[in-house]
This record gives sequence, structure tokens and C-alpha cells, in this order.
Amino acid sequence: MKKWLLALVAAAALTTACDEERDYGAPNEDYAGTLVVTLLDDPAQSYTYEGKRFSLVSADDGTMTLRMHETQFVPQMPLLTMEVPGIAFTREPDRLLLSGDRIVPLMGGTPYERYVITSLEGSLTDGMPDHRLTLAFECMGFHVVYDGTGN
Amino acid sequence: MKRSRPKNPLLTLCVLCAAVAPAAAHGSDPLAAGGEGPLMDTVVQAGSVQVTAIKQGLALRAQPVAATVMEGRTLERTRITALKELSAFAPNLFVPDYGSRMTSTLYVRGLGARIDQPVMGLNVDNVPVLNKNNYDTELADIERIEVLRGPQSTLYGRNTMGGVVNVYTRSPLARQQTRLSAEYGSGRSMRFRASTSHRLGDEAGVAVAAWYTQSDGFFENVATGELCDRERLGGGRIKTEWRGRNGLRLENTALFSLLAQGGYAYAYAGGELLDEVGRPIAVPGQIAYNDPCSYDRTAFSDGLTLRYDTERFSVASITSYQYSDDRMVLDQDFLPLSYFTLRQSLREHAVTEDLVVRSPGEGRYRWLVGAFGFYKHGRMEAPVLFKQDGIERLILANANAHDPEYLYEWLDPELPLESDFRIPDMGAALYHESEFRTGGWCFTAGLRLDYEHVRLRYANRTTARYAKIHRTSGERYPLELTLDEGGTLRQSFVELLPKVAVRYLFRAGNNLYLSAAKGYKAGGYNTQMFSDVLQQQMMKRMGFGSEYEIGDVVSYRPEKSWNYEFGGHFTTADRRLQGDFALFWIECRDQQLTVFPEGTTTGRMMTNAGRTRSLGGECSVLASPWRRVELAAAYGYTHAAFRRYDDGLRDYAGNRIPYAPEHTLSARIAWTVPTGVPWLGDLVLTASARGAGRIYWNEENSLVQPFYALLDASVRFEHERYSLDVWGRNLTGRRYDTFYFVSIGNAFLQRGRPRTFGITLDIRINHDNPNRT
Repeated sequence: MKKWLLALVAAAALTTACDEERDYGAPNEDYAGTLVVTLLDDPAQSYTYEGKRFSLVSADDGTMTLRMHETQFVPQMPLLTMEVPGIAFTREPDRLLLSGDRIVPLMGGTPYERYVITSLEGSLTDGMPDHRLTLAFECMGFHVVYDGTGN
Repeated sequence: MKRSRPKNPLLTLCVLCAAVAPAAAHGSDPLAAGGEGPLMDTVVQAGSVQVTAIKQGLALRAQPVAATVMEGRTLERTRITALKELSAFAPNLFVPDYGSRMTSTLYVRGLGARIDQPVMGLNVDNVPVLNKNNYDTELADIERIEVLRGPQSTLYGRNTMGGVVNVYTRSPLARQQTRLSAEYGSGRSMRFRASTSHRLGDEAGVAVAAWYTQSDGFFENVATGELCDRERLGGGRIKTEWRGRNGLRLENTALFSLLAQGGYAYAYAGGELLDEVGRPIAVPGQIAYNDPCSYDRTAFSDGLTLRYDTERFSVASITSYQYSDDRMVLDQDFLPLSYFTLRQSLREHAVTEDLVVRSPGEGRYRWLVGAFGFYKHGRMEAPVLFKQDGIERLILANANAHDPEYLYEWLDPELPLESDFRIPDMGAALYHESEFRTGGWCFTAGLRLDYEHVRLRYANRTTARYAKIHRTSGERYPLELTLDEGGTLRQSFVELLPKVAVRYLFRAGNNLYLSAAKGYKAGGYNTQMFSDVLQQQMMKRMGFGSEYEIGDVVSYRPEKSWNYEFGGHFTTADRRLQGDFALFWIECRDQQLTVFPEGTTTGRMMTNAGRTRSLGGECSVLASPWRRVELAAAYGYTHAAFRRYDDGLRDYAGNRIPYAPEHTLSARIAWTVPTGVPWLGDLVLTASARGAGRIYWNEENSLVQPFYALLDASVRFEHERYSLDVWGRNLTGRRYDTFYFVSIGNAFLQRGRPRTFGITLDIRINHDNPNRT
């Protein structure tokens, strides 16, 4: 599965630029990083969570699916594992750019409209030795920023 | 139950010690005092009593150790038939009757563990019993029981940080006799025993013993209308001994037993529990559960001891094979509701080998070196089955309450969570103990290097079919969730276990000692945590909660302790009074505890988070103040408290350790009156009391079992060829509890045995050859 996903991303890269043979990381792998959540109505209220695990999976339709494992935006919120499908990506020389808007995430296999993701932007950057995943989006009145690495 | 009240300790201990102390000033009697006879000479034959002890000798009162010894006649008069009946007879030893012979939990000096590794070892004819589940078996045809308190890890290794119980069965070379015994008592309890021992020529002998016990039980399960704690136990033992003229000795003990038990007498201890329409589900004090509960066990063991004595050294090899196959079926909610059940089966094979070489005996310097190894392999299946109430009340109610977008519906009537385990475990050790004597002083030092490697191969499986229905659109999503995963966890432990002691002998039978010793309880895996692991994995797949790191949740490392002890043994010149006392200070580290992982509201995990301190003292007295009157008393006090224990929800530092009693007390008086009728023998009137408490039931120390005492008495006609015993236990009908726990938020208490009466007939037919020596 992992090889297949790598091949898919590599094929996408080849179709856009034959002179580029760079690996933008293994997008089905896990990333560990920092999640910073800020209340849109009150930017003074901000929560930071370290060591949060996200993963990025290539989908059959040429998009990517983001999995946010055991994530909460505020401490009172239960830990949720959300799946954000249909994230579009474009390729730049040294990174993949991720984008999406009004994506309804899935939890436990069903859509949750109240957690709709808007204004998603991000990038997956090749790095040595680690790859870096950065994301920013809005959800439920929160501005969410993620910065993680994987190898 | 009462709320706890703090109280001050050691007063009774000091009084008792003061009573015993004057005995130190008088007399000497090497034999009675356990004397200064050879510490390492491990075969004692006095009259018809013969016991072979390999490591520690039998003159325990001459050694720097706190020990309680019970021998043939005392064992018969007190009718001790199982390890738990030793409770309180040895001070600071508490073996609660949890209702099932599987849970053989021992508490000593504040140390103890409800599950997994024990704090006390059990040796039967020098063979270590590796599986704690097999501790609680019938003690038939027993010659001697020793309870050694304080770490015995230098000589006995893992799982002896609280001490060791040594059980010695009757030797066929000592006494040729056929014994028959029948007993009938309350609860339609019956006990039948038969044993016979014979010499086979001058050098060999064989002893065969068989037993069968049964009880219909004492506690009614109102949900089924039946007694829940029935029991059937049968077994047999063959012991053969051969003693060559060239110093070679051979002893083999083979044991087989079969056990079939009912369930636990767990009475509901919470507030009144009502169903949706207000009808009572559970009434406080009532035992009521609907699903079957049972415990069955098949056990076999064979221990072979070879010993060869020369003038320069003695070498002994103790080899054993142990097999046990037990099956526990449990209604885990203990309510007349169908929440969930557990069917746990464990099949285990084990082999052990202990090789001991030691100096022969009488010199100023004595030594002992040994090597020990074991391998055991356990195969366990532990499926948990969620049933209708469990699915509706625990899973669906929780999901529906916390998911604002969907309603959940379960598509199957039951949810199986299956877990299979393979548990190979091996260990090896080298140990040494030296003893040097000069004048009245005796210095002892020992060291053991203990290695253990344990693995856990696990496989978890479950399939759940459920549907999510959107609350506004009504759209229905049938879903299937399958978990099927496995893995292997490994741990290795290396421990150095030192011991030092110094003893000063005033005169034979009167000594004082100081000792320091390290003890340890092995690490391992708590397989009971896997149902939590599976539940968390399921929740994660459903989108909620966090997944556990299995290794972190189920693994625990060894627990270690240092025991500092000051004690002594005293005997009066006329042998009418002897006493023992010990004061101890135990620092326990890396205590194996259950904690709640951060960030979750369900589930538990094992960790080495605790640190405890246990202070206390104990004393025992044996006296014959008048002819034909025998008095025995033992008292133990323990102040055991957490120095550090944060379970993730609360810090319990300073609180008392639950389940271990603060006080233990036993007192017994026996008056022997000759009847003057030759065929009737003597009349022996015995009254005794056994007590324990306070026992804290929870880490918060908010629930407590106050001190309770049980009054026993017996009237016994004792003749050389028979005895007839009419007895009663817990004569005052004292209501007390032996165990407390919480399941699915509901509290339960295990009730102690009520008042019981019985009659026991023992017949002894001697067939000694008077010409044989």
C-alpha cells in the first residue's frame, strides 16, 4: 500500500514536470507536531498541543486525505479522530501545496457537517532528514495551525 | 462499613514485647529453642517427625528471621486445611478468603497484590509453586508449615519480597501409618481423607494420600435462587523416599488435584439501583447476578529432590514439573443484568531446577551456593462478551449521549472481544550465602543475581456491526468494524538481591538480630488490561477517544523493596514460655499499580508508579503456664502508607495501602484433660480467636473494614488411635467483609464466612515395625 501511494504521488509529479524527480515525503506516513488552536472570535484564547499525530494519505481520486488522530481543539472537547478527504494538491519545485474549502470531515465512517473544514491551506516539504507538513484551516469557529515532521 | 478513624499504633505491641522480654534472662535448651543446632543441617528426625529442608534448615528460631512454625499436632488441632487458614496465626500475615481458590492473595507486613505476581513464595517439599493460582489447595498429610516473613529473595528469588511459606508433607520413612478422616459441617461441607505410608525395605518408603472435599456453599445468589459458592475438590499425592547408605537420598512428590467451584459471593454495596421504571435491580447487601460463574482447575506437579552428602560438602538438586489448567467464567457486572462476561482459561507448563551446594555443618564458617532456573509457558484465552445490557447501557448510551449528529444502533445481539495470549517466561539465578560465627556473634551475608525474560504474544479480534442514523436527515449508515491484530512484547530483568544480618546469641534459644535484605517481585504483563485496550481501539475507530500504546498499558517492571529488621527469640529455662518479636521498616519502590492514563476517562493501565513505606512490629508467644494448658498468641501491627501514588486522577501520598490489615491477632488456649477412660483418651478443650483490621478498601481511605475477631472453639477427644472433634468457627456470627471492588461504577463486597459447625473423626492405624530403627 505504501509503495503504491508513493508511486501515485511520484506519477503525479512526473506528469507535471519530467525534470523533477524529487520525493516530497511519504504522504501516507505519520507526522508528529504542534497544533495551535485560536478562537476566531477571541484571538487571545489560544491552545497549544504538542506531539499531535496527523497523517496524509493519497486517495484514488487524485486527492489526499488528512487524518487528525486524537485531536481536540479545546481541552473540554473529547479526543476525536477526524478524516478530511478531498484535499487538492499542486506541485511546486520543492513542495506540494495543499488546499481545500468546505470539506465535510468523516468520523467513524460518516460525515459530520458541524465540523466542516474551511480555508484549508498547507504544504508538504521535502527535507533532510525529515519531511515537514504545515496546515492551516478553520473549523467550528477555530483557526487551526499544524506544523509537524515525519521521516 | 464505617468511615476510617486515625488511631495510634504500637501500644499493644510494646506491652506484648515487654511480656516476652523477661524470658531472655533465663535458661537454655538447645532442642526446644531450635537451639544452636546446625543451621545448615537440614534433616531433623525427632520421634516420628522427619522433614528435609534444603536451604534454611529447621532451627528457624536460631536464625535472623521472623518465622512462625506449625507442626503436626498443632495443625491437626487447629484444622488448618488451606493456606488461607494460616491467616493471623502468623503475625502480620493476612490471607483473605476471596471465595475462589484462584485468587490466592497474600498480604504480609503491608505488602500484597490482588492480581499477578505474589509477594510471598510457596514451597512444597522444597519445590517452588510458580503459579499463584495453585497456592490455594488442600493441605493434607502435612508435617510442618513455616511462614518466614521479610524478604527471602537471596535464597528463594523472585516473588518472595514479603516472605516464604514452606510446606513439608509427611515422610513415609518416619512413620508407617494409615490415617482415615471424615468431616461433616455447615453448608453440607464434607471432607474425606485417606493416607497410608509404608517402608519398602530398609531404605525406601512410599506414602499415598487422597482427599475429597465438598461444600454446597453458604451464600445465596438471589438472581438464580441457588447457593453461589459451592465447591468440589479432590486430589492425591504420592511421596516416595529412598535413603542410600552412601549419602545419596532421593525424594519424589507427585501431586494431582481437580477443583470445581461456583462463583463469588459478591454482594452489591452501592445505593439502591433501579431500572428505567423504578424497579430495584440491586439491593445493598444482596448477592444477585444472572450469568454463570465458576472456577475449575486441574493441576499436576512432580518434584524430585536428589541429595548427596559427603564430609566436605552436600549437594542437592530439586527438579520439578508443574502443570495447571484453569478455567474461570465470570459475570463481570455481578448484577442481574447482562452487561458482559469473561471466560478465561489458562494452561501452563513449567519446569524448575534448583541446585544447592553447601558446607556440611559445624564449622565457624558455613557457606551455601546455588543456581536456579525455570521455564514456563502459558497459553491463555480470555474472551470478553458484551451482552445486551452492556451494549445498550455502556456502548450505545455513551455514544448517543456524546454524538450530536448521529444515533447509534447495534446490529448484533452480542459483541465478542477476543484475546489470546502465549506467555513464555524464563529465568535463571546464581546465589550465595555465607555465615561466620565467633563467640556469640553470627554474621550472615548473601547475594543473588536474578535474571528473567518474559514475553507476551497477543492476538486481539473483534467484529462489530452497527448503524449510525443521522439525527436530522434520517440517513442510515450500516457500518462494520473489524479489529484483528497481534504482536509480541518482551521484557528482561536483572536484579541483584543482597542480604546482610548479624545475630547475637545470649544462650541457646535467646538471641537478637539485625538484618537488611532486598526483595523483588517480578515484572510482567497484566493481560486483564487487554479488554480495555480493545475497547479503546474500537472507540478510536468509531472516531472517539485515544488508542493505547499496548506495551505501556499492560507491561510492568519489577517491584523492589528493602526490609530493615530488628528482632529476637527468647525461651525460658523451663521451656514454659517462648517468644519472638520483630520490628521492621520496609521501603518499597517501583510499586506495580493501576493508574488512569492522562486524557481519557475510561480504561486503566499498569505502571510502576508507586512508592510505599511499611513500618510495624510483630510478636508471638507460646506458653505452658500450667500443666496441660497451652497458650499461643500472635499479634502484628503494620502502618503501611503510600509515599507516592498518583493514579492520574488523584494523589494518594500519605494514605494507607488498601487491603492489607493494620492489625492481625490470634490467640489460642488449649486445655487437655485426661478422661481416665483408656479407650477415650484425653479431652482437649480449645478456644481461639482470630482477628484482622482495620482494612482500607480504597486508595482514598474513605471505606474501611473495622477490626473484627472471629471466635472458634472445639471439643476434642484425642486418643492415640483416633480423635473426634466437634468444632465451631465464627461462633458469634460476626459479619465482616474480605474484599471490596468496583465494577462499572458499582461497589461490591465479598462477605466473610458465617458461623459454621462441624464434626471431624480421625482414625490412625499404626503399622510400624517395632524391630526397625
